[in-house]
Amino acid sequence: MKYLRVWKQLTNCAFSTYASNRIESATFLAAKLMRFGFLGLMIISLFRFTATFAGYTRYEALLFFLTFNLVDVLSQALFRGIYLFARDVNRGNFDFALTKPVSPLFLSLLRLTDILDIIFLIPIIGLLLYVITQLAIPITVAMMLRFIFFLAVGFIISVSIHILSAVMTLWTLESDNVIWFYRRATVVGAFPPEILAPGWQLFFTFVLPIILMMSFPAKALLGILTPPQTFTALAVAAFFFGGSLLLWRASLKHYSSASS
Amino acid sequence: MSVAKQLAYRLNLLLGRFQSLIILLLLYFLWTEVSRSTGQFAGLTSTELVSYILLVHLLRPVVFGSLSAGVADEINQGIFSTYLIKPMSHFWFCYWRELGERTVLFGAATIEVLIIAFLIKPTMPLTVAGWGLVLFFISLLIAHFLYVLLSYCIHLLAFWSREATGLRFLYYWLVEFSSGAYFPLHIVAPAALLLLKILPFNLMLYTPVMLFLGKVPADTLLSIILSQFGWLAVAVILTAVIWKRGLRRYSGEGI
Repeated sequence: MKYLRVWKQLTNCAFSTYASNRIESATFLAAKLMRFGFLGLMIISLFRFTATFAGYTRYEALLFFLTFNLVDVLSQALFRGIYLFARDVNRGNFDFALTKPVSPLFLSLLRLTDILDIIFLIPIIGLLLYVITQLAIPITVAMMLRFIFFLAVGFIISVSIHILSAVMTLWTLESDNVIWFYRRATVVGAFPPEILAPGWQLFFTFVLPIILMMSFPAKALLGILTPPQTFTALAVAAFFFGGSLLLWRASLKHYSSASS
Repeated sequence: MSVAKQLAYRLNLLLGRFQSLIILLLLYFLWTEVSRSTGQFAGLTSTELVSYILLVHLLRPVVFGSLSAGVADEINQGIFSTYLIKPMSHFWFCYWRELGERTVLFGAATIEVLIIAFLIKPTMPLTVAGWGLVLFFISLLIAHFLYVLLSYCIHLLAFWSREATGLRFLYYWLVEFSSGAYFPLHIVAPAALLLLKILPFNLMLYTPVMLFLGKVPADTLLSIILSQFGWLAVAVILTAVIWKRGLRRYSGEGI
């Protein structure tokens, strides 16, 4: 409950910031919508020349695209604070997080809620529900539950990667590009994974598990996820989450507060 | 100095290049997939599609830049005042400063394209020659300066508002997609294509690359180059007006 209260207060502060910079907020939201719109336009345009894309129909391809957006935007909405982490460490501000009576990891991850992304989630969820109703296969409650379950698995992996980014920052002090690298790489999840060569599919499943995070929920909904793939997803999520927490603890011991 | 700065933060440079490489690979797989069954897609053969994305990757650092030191930030923080007392044009100072960064990135992009080309061994169709090649380089040069000028204008808007970061972000994505960096523009529906052709951004990557691939009809070559010159003139005038009016508003806040 204490952490919920802290998060609520941090979100209130973020809301005030966004509300006081209205032009900035409006243009940022417009930019996010533009990126979303153009990528969507690109996928829809592919079907002007072909009936299927990597074996998927138009609405199935859009399901991958919208699931990618849901996981991506939700992570950004909650963990925007990590984008400020490198600056905090370099300026010595991270020391203040260490002196507060809450987990420094919690504070670093959730210190800034992106209100614009929260707003952005509304059209994404609306479009996702529309696309699900347009799929050729009948969608059952069990399929929807599987979809939500794999979204949760993807979200755990996303949390882990955000923690690993913070770990890299603590070790290298010059790694604000780590999180941007991850952000740019996630675009792989906007398309069906079958377009990639098998080696790259393995890379984006186990090394940088974007396929697991963003494509598996869509595959689960379409009923094409095999039991071994399900176990793989759970094992990788557990490995990443446990590993990231261990590395975070080790990094805190390494942190020298040299910048402050 | 810009080169030294780029090389000082080697991890960032490396991760930045990995980002671009992943996008390149993704686009390569995407366009290979759509042209797999028939060997062509939207009027381009598989080879032309691969050439399109490799050329875009190579030309990106030539056309796109980041005005690395952040002109808008300098205006907002008052650092800009130091340039006003220097005996040089602010625009050209920023231009040459950015050129160092572009050189490093172009070198990196060339190596990446060579590696990918070695792995996939594409047949680059050099269908243009002679005057076609000259037109390609003219088009590329205009695209380069068109981007630099428009980007500079966006940064100068910081004279009017401290809230210019969102606008720059919006501009970034608008240019990324409507320049043809992600997909050949002619794949979209005619109405959307018309809209993209009205904007000047299609002249930045799509036009030079299609010129290189010999996909621009001969009877439209002149009008395309003239259109590029026209937009360049608009950008020059716009920059001069914004600079002049912006300086009147500048208060040196933050010094």
